[in-house]
Amino acid sequence: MNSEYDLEWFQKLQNDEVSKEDFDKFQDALRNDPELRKAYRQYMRMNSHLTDMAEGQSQDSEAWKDLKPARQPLKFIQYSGWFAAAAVLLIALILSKDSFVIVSQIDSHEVKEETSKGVAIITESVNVEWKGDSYQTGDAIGLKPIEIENGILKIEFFCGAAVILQGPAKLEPISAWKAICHSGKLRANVPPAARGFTVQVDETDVVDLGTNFAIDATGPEKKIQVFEGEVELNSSKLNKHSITTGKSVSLDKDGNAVTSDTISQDFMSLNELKGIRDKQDEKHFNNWLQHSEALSKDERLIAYYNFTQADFHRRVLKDSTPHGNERSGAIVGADREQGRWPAKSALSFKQPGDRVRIHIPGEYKSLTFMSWVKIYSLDRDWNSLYLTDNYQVGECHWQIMRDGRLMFSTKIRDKWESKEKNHVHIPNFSPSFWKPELRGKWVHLAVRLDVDKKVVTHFFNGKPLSKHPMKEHFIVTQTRFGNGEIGNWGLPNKPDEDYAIRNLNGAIDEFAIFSEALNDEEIFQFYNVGNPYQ
Amino acid sequence: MKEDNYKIYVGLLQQNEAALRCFIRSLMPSWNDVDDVMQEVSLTLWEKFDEFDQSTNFLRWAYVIARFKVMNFCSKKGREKLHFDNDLLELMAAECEEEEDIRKAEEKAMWTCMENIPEARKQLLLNSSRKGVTVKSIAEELGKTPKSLYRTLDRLKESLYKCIQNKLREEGLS
Repeated sequence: MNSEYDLEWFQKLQNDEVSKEDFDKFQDALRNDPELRKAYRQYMRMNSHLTDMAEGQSQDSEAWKDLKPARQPLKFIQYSGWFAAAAVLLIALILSKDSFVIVSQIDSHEVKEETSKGVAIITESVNVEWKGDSYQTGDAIGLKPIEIENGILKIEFFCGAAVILQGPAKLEPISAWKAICHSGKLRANVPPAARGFTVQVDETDVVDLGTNFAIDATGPEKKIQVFEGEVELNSSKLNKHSITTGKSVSLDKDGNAVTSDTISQDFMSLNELKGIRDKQDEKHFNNWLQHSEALSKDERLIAYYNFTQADFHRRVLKDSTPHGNERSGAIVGADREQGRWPAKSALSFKQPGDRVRIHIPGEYKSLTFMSWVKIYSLDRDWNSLYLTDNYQVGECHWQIMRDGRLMFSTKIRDKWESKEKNHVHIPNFSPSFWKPELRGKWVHLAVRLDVDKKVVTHFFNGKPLSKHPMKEHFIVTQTRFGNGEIGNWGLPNKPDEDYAIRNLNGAIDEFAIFSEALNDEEIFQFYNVGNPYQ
Repeated sequence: MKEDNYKIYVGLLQQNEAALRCFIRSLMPSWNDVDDVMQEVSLTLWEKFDEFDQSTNFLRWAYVIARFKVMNFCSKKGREKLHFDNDLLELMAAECEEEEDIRKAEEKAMWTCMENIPEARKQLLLNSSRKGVTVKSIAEELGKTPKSLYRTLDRLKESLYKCIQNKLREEGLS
C-alpha cells in the first residue's frame, strides 16, 4: 500500500480535514494502486460495520450466526433514519400501530451449548462477612475454598446434600460429592439420593451413609457427631469406623478416635436457619415497606407500582401515588409469584401474552424509570421493560437486548426533516450488564433522561452503567406516555397479524416512573434500601 | 399482492442492508451523505421492485441503483463536497461489488476482534460511530479535548483494522 496514504489519512478524509487539492492527489494514487483502493474500501467498510453495530442494526448479518441462540423464529428491524421515507410511502399500505416493525423469518443456527462451572449453590446467607471472594444467594460455587469470618451459609451440593456452615469457617469443595472442612462448624443433611457425600476433615474422610451429621473443626481436636443415621470414618488410622445416631467421635491431632455417647446441640439445623432467615427477611421487607410508603407521597412520581397489594386476583396493579386509580395497570396473563422477600409479591412474565397495560396521561420533560427485575433469560432480541404502544413523538421505549445491553430510546420526530434532523429516534445502548449468574436474581435497573443536561444515563444495581450525551436536535423536550405496557409490547390489531414478541422472561416487583431526573445518590438509595441480598 | 411484495422487498433489503451501506460508504468520502443516499436508494428499490426479477440476485440489482444514486448525488453536490471522479467511482464500485465475501468475513472478524477490546474502549468506539454523535460532544462529556479523543479513536481503529486484516489472512482472504 502507498505509504503516503495510511489509515490516518483515511480518517482525516472522513473527518473532512482534507483539501480539494490533496484529495485530487489521493484520487490519482487510487487510480494507480489497486492495493490502496482495496485498503480504503476495507477501512470504510469497517467504519460502516461499526456504525451498524453501534446502532444495533447488524443483527441481520451473517456474523451473528455464531452469537445467537438456536431456533429463533422471528426477528425485527427498527424503523430508522434512512428507512423513514420508504415507510412513509408505504404507510397507506400497512397503516397499523406496528407499522414501524417488520417481521420476517430467518433460519435457525446451531450454537454451542452454554456451560457453567460449579459443584454447589449458595442458597442462604445470613449476616455473612466474607474473607476473600464474596458470593450472593443463588451463586454457583466451583472448586475454590469458601471462607467466611462470620455468619451462616447454606450450601446445596449438586449431589443433593445440604450443608450449613457457621463462621468463622473455611470449606473447600472438591467435587459435587466431596468437600474439605478446613475450619468452622458444619452440619450436613444428606437425603438418600446423596448417600456417599463425603466431608474430609484433616486426614479423615467422613463418609455419609444417609444421615444428618455435624463436624466441629473450630479447634485442634475435631468432633464428628451423628444426629440421625450413620457415617463412616476413613483414614490411614481408622478403617471404616462407624458412628450411629446420638454418638460422637473426637479426633485428636494424630487422627485417633475417641467415641462418646453425647452429642452437642450447638449446630444450627435447617429449621433454625429458616427461622433466622425469616426474621431477617421480615426486617428488610418492613424497612423497604416504610421507605416505599413514604415514596408514594413523592410528588415527582408519575406512577408507582410497589406490588404490595393482596388482591392480584382482581387483575389490577395498583398505582400507589395520589393519582389514584387512573394509572393503575391491567394485569393480563401474568401470575403472582414471590417477590424479593417472602412477604412481597411480584408478577411473573413468562408467556408471550403476559403483560401489564397502563395508561399515563400528560406531558413531561425529564424522566427517571426504576424497577426491580428478576430475569430468567433474555430470549428475545428485544426484551421489554416498558414500552408505549405506538411509539409516537415523545414516547419512550425501555428494554433489554438479547446480549444484556439496556436500551432506552425516545421517538424524536415522525419523519426525516432535514439533513441534521434525519433521525426518527436515537437508541441509547448501555454496555451489557448481563452474566449467566444473574439469572433468577433480583437486579435494580434504572434509566434517566435528563432533558436539561441532554444526557441519557443507564443504571445497574444503583450505579451508572453508561452515559449518552445527545445533540440538541436529537432530544425531545416533551415526553409522553399514553397507552403502554410493562413487560411486553403492543397488541395485535388483526387476528392474522404478526406482532413483535417482546415479553420479558422474568418477574417484576417494583416499578416507578418519575417526572424528573433523579440524582445518582437518590438512585443508589433506592437500590440500597430494596436490595434483598444484604 | 402489493403487501406480499412489500414483505419480500423488506426482507431482501434487510438482508442486504449492511452490504449496501458499505458499498455506498466506500464510494463517498463524506460519511454524512451516506444516509441520504441510502434513503434514496431504498425508495427507488421499492418503486422499481416490480421490475426486479426475484429469481436473480437482489444485491447485484441494488448495487446498480446505488451506484447510479451516488453519481447523481455527487454531481448535484459537486462543488460543496469532495467526491470521487466518475471514472474512479466506476472502478471502485466494480471492485467493491466483487468483494461481498470479503465484506462478510470482515464483519465476522470485526465481532471477534471487538471481543478483545476492553469494554470502556469498545463503548467509546461504538459511541463515536453512532450517527448524529460527534467526537466533540463525546470529548466534552469525558472532559477531554477533541484532538486527544481523535488520537485515541484513530489508534483504536488502527488496531481493529489490523486485527481484521490478520483474521482475513488466517482465512486466506487477504
